[in-house]
Amino acid sequence: MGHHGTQEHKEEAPVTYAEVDSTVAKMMEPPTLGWYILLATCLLCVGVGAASWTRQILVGIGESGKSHPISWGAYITNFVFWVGIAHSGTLISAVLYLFRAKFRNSIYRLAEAMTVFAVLTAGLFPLIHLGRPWFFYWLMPYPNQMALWPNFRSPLLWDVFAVSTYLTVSATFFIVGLIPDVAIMRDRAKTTFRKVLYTVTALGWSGSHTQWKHYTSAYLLFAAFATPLVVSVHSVVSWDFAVSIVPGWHATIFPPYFVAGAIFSGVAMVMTLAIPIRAVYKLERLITLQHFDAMSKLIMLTSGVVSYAYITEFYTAWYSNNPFERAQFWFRPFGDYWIAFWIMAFCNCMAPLALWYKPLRTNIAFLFVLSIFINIGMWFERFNIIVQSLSHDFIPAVWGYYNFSWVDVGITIGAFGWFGMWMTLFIKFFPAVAIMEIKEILPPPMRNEHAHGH
Amino acid sequence: MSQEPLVSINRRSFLKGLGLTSAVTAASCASDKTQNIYSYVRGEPEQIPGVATWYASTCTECTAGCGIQVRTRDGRAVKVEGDPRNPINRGGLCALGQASLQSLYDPDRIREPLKRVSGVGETARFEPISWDEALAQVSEALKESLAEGKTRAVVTGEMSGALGDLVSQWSKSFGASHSMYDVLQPTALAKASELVFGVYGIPEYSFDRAEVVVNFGADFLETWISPVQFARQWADSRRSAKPVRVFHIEPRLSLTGASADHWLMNKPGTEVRVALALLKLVLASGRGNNLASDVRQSLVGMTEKVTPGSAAAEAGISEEKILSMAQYLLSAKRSLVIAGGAAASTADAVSLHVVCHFLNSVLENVGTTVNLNRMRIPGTSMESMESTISAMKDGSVAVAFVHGANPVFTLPSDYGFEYALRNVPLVVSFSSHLDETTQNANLVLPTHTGLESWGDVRMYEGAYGLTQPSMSPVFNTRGLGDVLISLAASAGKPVSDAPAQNFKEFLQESWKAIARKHGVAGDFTKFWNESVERGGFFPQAEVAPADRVRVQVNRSVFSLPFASVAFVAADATGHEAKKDEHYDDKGPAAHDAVPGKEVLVFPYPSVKSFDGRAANRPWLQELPDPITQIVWDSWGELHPSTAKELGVAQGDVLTVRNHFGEVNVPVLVSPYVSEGMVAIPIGQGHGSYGRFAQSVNTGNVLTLIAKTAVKDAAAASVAPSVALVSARAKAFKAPGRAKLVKTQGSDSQHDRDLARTRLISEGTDGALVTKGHNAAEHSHDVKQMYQQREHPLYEWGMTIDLAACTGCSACVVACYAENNIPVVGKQRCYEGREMSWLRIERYYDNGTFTNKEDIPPPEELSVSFVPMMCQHCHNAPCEPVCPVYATYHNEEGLNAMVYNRCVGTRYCSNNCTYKVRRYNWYDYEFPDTLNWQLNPDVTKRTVGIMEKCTFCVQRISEARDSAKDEGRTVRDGEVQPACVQSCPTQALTFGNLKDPHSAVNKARDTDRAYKVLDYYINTQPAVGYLERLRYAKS
Amino acid sequence: MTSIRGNKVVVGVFSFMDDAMNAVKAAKAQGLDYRVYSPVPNHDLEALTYPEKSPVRFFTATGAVAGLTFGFALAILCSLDYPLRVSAKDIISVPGFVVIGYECTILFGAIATLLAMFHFCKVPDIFRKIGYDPRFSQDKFGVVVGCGAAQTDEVSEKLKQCGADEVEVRNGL
Repeated sequence: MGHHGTQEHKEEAPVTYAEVDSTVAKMMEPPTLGWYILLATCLLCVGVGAASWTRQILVGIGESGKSHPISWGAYITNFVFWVGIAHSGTLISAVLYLFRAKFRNSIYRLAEAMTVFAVLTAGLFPLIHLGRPWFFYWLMPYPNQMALWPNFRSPLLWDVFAVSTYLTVSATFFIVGLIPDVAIMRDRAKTTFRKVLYTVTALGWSGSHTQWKHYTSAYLLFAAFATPLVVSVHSVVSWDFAVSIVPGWHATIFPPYFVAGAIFSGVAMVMTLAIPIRAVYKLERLITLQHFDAMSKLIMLTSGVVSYAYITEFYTAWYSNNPFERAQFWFRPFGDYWIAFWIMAFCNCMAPLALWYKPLRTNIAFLFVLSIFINIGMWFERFNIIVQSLSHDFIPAVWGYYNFSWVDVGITIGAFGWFGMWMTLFIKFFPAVAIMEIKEILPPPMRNEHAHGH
Repeated sequence: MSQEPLVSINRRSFLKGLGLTSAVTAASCASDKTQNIYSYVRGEPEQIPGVATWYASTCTECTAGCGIQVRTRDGRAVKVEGDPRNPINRGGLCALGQASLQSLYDPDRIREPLKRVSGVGETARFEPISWDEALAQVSEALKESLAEGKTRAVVTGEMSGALGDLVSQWSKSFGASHSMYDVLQPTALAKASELVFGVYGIPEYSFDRAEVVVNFGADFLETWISPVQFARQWADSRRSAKPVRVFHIEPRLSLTGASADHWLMNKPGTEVRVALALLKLVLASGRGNNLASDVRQSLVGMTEKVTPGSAAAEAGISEEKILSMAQYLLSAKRSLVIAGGAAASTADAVSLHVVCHFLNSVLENVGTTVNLNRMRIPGTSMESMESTISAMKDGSVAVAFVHGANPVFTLPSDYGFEYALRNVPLVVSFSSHLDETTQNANLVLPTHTGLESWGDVRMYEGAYGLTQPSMSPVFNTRGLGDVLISLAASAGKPVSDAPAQNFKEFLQESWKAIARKHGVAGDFTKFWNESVERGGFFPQAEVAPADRVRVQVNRSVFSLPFASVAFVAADATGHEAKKDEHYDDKGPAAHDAVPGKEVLVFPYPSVKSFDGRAANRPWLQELPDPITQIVWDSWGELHPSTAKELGVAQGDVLTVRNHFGEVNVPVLVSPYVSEGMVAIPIGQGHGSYGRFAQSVNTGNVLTLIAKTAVKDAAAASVAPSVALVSARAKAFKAPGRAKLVKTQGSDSQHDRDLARTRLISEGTDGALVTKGHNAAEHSHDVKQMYQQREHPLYEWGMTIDLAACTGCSACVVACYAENNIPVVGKQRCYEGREMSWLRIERYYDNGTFTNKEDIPPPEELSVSFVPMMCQHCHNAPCEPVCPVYATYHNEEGLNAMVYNRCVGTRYCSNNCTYKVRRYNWYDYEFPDTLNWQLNPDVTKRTVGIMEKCTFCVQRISEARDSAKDEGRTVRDGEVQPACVQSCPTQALTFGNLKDPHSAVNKARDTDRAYKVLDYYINTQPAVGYLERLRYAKS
Repeated sequence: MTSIRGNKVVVGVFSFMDDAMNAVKAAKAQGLDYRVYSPVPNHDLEALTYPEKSPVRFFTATGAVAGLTFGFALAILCSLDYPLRVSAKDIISVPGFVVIGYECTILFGAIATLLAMFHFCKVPDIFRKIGYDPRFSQDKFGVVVGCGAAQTDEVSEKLKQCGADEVEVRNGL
């Protein structure tokens, strides 16, 4: 790696250990007014969400827009959306780590933080969605005096295991990654508060050669475990639909299709977050245009996969000659929700095509707008799958229409606020750029360049 | 409980035909003693807590006289079911009858005597008053009026039997006039019978004996005369080897029309021409020699001017149809021609009925399908109403009693009944509900409902139904009979030679007469108890129709007008309404100023609201109208072209106004109504009557109808019945949109084989051949991936014969009643949150096997009804997806639902192919005293829980337990879910699929059998359907 | 190794990694116990100081296998203890249970790895960092050599020769 290190060195010449430390440390200097305003906005959104949920619990689950026959709506849409967002974090931090993709190091911390907070957000929705949330624990297999166990054949139970595992593993991975950087902060800390905070959270990390040994070895293993999760979690989520018999849900293509979509939306979200942070905290030398170029290529790839999946869905519906499938996929672009469908098609399939024009892949302003589009598009993808399929299934006599309620909107806003709140707090109190790992790809200081190296 | 039960039987012992012994416990009705009802502290001897007691009785909702059995638990009536022993309904019961419980427990019922202290009509204010005071006032007023030589008037609804006798005797002895009024009574038909057959009344029709029926708009499957009886006859024939072929001619698609083989949409008022054309063709073929030659001559003369072509042109139907109708009538051994419903309720209704009667005579149906020996005699008389009202208006009436009728709502406005009432010093209403008429009363003496009273119904000579109280009065009410008797006593005017202390004694006296008349020897008490246990006495029930044919034609009949009805302009003048200062008389000029186009107003009765008496029953308000699928509303049906002319679209509000009144109804565009008319259901738009009725504030369509809009028929100076279809009105778009709540998503089944129709056609040899789906789809036997569930003892299943389903929706209401299904109200229904476990899907297709996405034109129309409830699939998609096992498959083949384990992920509903699962989006209220009706055997579900049809598992358990007690298995037919029990046509069969000889298995042993969607997704439902039958269009 | 052999330790602060590595070689040559603090892990350093493989992976494997077993056992035993038929599916529907087994494998494996790492890295342990200096987490390398009181001067000298910016003698533990 040292060898590559020298290559790196030539490319981004004067970046030194000290510069990395100071640049990142700057991000964590006492909050500015802007930061407080951002945090306040997030908290406000959280408040809106909390109020909406309270109303739903007090008045009845009917306060959300769901009805007969559309029993799943905005909440499950949000659930899938946020789980999807989470994925690219794991992809960047784990998969690319295994592939030794160097562009990962500068953005992985952001991505990983996004993962953990996105799962934290997604995890709320199954609860919010339940008709009797006060009995959510009945989904857990725990010994009880009723001598009842949950149904292990239900995809929803698979979800319980998949999501909780995912949260645990990615949180572990995230925290372990933080330890050395927190140690750095501990050793630089000026205020007592931070001194105490970092001393405790660094767990007494010293960076001795034995610690590094076991650390790197464990880190590799974490990456190895997180990697299959990238594939499995969203596959399990997709089985919530694919295992059912609802036309538009019952499709074998779902797992790969969902995973690709997840990475697609996740990378877009990384951009959405990285671009402003990079601008505000002057990280241009750490998060370089070449990183964005790489992410753009990832978006081009996944957008292609997703578009292909869409087309395949329509093709199989036609080829199956199954009247219900055919009706469903005619309904999607031309039915009651045609707007939702075409928003999805534009944002996910058409807009990313622009990236084939190289200059745009490094055009920050364009990328920011595009990433927002993709986030919107992917939210609607899930909406289309869930709501459209349920609105128009087997029995024409019960076809229905989904009416968004204010509670739906409130809770959706609350989710973004919740996610934003964690992000905001995080970038101020913990290194949002992985100091140690950036140092790692820099050449170690040598008195004698030539004596060293092999 | 004040009275002891005359029959304390539960379902099982009843089915075993026992209970007679237990029945014979002396009865002492004390319904003249008022008392509150409490749950038992010390129970009555025959009451076992937790065990139901059944009381046989007779339904008093309409005049059909269906037998009912009232299920009571701990002294409260919780369910009403049809009595299989009754010759009229033979076990079935209509939606109205099922909902009679909600009249009993109506939260808006008048709970004690009231005195009006201020205001009148809408503004009236009442205060409670004791029975003694009230009665004292009434007798005082009676005495005065007698002294002053003023007269007295009694206005009631249809009344037969002892109560009728009592009222007329009371009136006689008090010198009062007694007039009956029921807007839906086919008095014109009775009148026609008098003219043609020489006897006033409604003959008994036998649809099961006819091969061909030509029907001019009679809704005999809905509200006409005796719908449950007729529906059963029709269905029996439809299931037979030679199903009756029904031609239905009407201007607007009705539930009955939907079940006809050939539905012909005609221009309103032209029925009589078509009938004449038929008569002409029939006579031309040389029939009719059974009539006196001069009669036949005059008939030929009558039909001279009409030709099939001219009639077809007038009616707007094809000539071929008329010719083929005649052809079928002539070739049929027995046929039947009837007219009724709104279509036959024009000013010239009598003419139409006369022609139909003549057709029946000429076709020699009298004595076979038309039975003159079992005449129902309607008491409704417009003449006596007229005279009574004018007497009231000129102030000669001092005391007026109103009971069982709501003329202010149901009489045409220009009768000025409300105005007349206000001219009477003392108006006493005996209504149990604060309806429009009662709002004008000075005193309200609330009476019992049918389920609290003694009484009897005389359907016809030889069929007497008995009504007994099934529980103590819910409120401080009294029976009319008891009140009249006490009034008579206090005035010293005996109402009968053998003075009765209370109405029950009076009733028994009159039953002694019945016993004598039918030569019942021996102990009367025995006869009485048997009759009470049986719910009546039906000596001639099984007697075949008369061989004797009576045709005594009143020659004046030939001078009747037989032209198409000319509907008077909306600004008809000369109406008396302007005498009524309360009537907002805009005058002709004002009317001309009204914008909009003139349309014909077409008010029609429906199973939902009947004549308006059922409007305050949430079950019926939330029941989707079988044809329009609309809940909690009234509406105006317009033909697309008419809607275009008026510049309105579905959901717009249409103001329909004429000189007499105004309604504002949501527009419902349908190709199945004739052009130039607006069809509006009767019975909605109450100004008072109760919270549920008043929630539909569209205005009362009957206010648009006017007596003076009816040109006097030559036969009678007063038309014998109210002409529903007679008035025209200006219609124009009102501001704003209406929230028209339609519970059905798509009217077409999009070629999905949900409701299958099998066409019947004559083979070359004249034998009937049916053409259905290819056998492959029927014998659906795929290799199962998993080993199917073992069912050791029982495997419950249901078979539904679509050929017998009329879509009447009685089953839906029965399900609400049995299973404590909450009513959620209009807004929640609009959000798609109605809770009904059982829905009747109504599809418009063209009867071929390639249903187009668009609904077909009227001439190709073929309507299908599919009762859809949980299919209890063996490969149930809902089960494996539940994370907490809240739903699973039990060893009796039931798809079980564990309410209190449900956490509400709603995945089961998503995965349910048939979308029959219903979710509690909120906690729903059962406003006091509706909650008294709740079935103690069924859990009331709370918010966040999924629910669905259970095949009435509580009834299964009851039967299983009693079987176990007796060391046997459950007998076939021992378990009947509420829907199966209530079905008037017995289209539903329930039983054990494991038993090869069970009725449910036998029923599905036909090539008509299929399972909905099973062919596509292999859900293996336990519910099987039989294809609908329909004669190929000819 | 919780502590360093010898009652004294000599801390050398290095700016260059190659110098630090030379110091380590020297310490090794003298058979002295040592510890290296570095801001980042480095292959060459690792090859020098800890050539053999880390045992963490064995714990990981054990955890993973345990998880797999647990997952399947849980699903199967629960289904047998509460045997309800849903649709026509078997009480033990293996395909569905694979998901549970799979997720538990990963969960248990990850947790085992974490614990193993904590164990071998001796964290959490906030206080005992022998000869640690805050600069070692920034951009300096630290070589801590344990020795007897008598050897301190000699060792200090050696470290200086290797290029230590500064050298400090502290008490060992």
